[in-house]
Amino acid sequence: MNKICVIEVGEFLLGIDTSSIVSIRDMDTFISDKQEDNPSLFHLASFLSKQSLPIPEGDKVVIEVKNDKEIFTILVANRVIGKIETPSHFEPLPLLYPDLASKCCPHVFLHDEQVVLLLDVVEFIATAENMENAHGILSLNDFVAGITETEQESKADSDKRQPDITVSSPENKPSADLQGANIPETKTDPPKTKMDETQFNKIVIWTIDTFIHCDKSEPVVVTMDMMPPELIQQQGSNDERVQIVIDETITNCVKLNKKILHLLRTQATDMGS
Amino acid sequence: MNTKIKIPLHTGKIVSVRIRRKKDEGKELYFLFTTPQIEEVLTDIAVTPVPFSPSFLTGLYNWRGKIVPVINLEKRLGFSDTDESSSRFLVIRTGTSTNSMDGEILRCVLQISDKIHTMETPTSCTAISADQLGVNPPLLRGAYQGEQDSYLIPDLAYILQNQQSTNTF
Repeated sequence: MNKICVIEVGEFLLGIDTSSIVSIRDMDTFISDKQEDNPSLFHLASFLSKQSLPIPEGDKVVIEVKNDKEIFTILVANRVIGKIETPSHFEPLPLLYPDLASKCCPHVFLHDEQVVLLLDVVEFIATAENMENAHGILSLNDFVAGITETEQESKADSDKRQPDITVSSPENKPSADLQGANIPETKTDPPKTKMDETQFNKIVIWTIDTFIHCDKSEPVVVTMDMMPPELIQQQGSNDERVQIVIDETITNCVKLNKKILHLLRTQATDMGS
Repeated sequence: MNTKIKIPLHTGKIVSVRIRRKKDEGKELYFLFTTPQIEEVLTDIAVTPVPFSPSFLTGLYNWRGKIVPVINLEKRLGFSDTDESSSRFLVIRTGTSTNSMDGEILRCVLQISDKIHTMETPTSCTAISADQLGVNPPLLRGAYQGEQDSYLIPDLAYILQNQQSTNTF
């Protein structure tokens, strides 16, 4: 077994052996690529809970898996949590769970303090093919219609909601024949909303350095357009947030500078007297 | 005439948990457990649901690195009209053999009511059949009627080793 891709599917937490995964794409890319073909999809949350759930906006990940007979199946999940090393310890699903559950998810393991169900792709595809009245099997066009419906409903409730997660960019889209898939190592936040610690530190360091080299006979003004191009490219956050960080850093630098100057003056006065 | 008996549990303190039922369903019912069975009582836990499960199987829980099933015991025994708003989670263990030296230790988390008390083993009870309570007999090790309340001793080893379909009442 290779690595395991941990995904969130409605209320379920599943693991898939990455050797079974052909590709992982974000829904928007998948729709633009495949809408003409209108393939069948498994809305996993509906299928596993045996009821036709409304399709939430959060269902943004399309995972193409294959079994040992090269039968390809397209699964829709909420999000990819990450790709992890195969755990050293698996346990069988306890006896009291239904046969259907132990066929599809025969083993469980712990990841990040939570219990994850390992999806047996071969058995899952076989079970899904043979299951009568299975829920959650729908065409791509029906799925898109479901998303649109949900979006319209949620817009009525709140006109400022953002998708929960961006899984992979179109540039990173893996080819269909790729053995294994391009799986994000960790959850990625939507762009232009948050600044991570590394970016924050880089901006603060640059601002302090700029402050040190500035002429302090006049009020120091530092703006983000003074930043070197490579830092602007890396920062990935919105301009307003970056400028706030710069302003706060400058304010602190000015305060500290005043304290130091005051201390130096006091020392000089003491020495003079 | 029914013979009065003492509930065949270990001597000493036992733990009773009131079963949530509609008020007009007669006497209060309690689950009984021995204190050594109970490992921990939790108020809130993160459960991973398992697909295709009946409603009494809440999911799986990571208890101190061990993966244990979470069972709504009231639902499992058929007391379906229960209010789950004030649930507690009882980490409990049982053996697969009546001889404590044999068999395997099984653990589970029971989703139960928050009416949990310790008590002395009730005396002068009358053994009653599970059928009288509308419970599938294999799910109980015993059912007893006291002066005011009735007591059920669930057969946890059976519950943990058998699927619902094999013992549908």
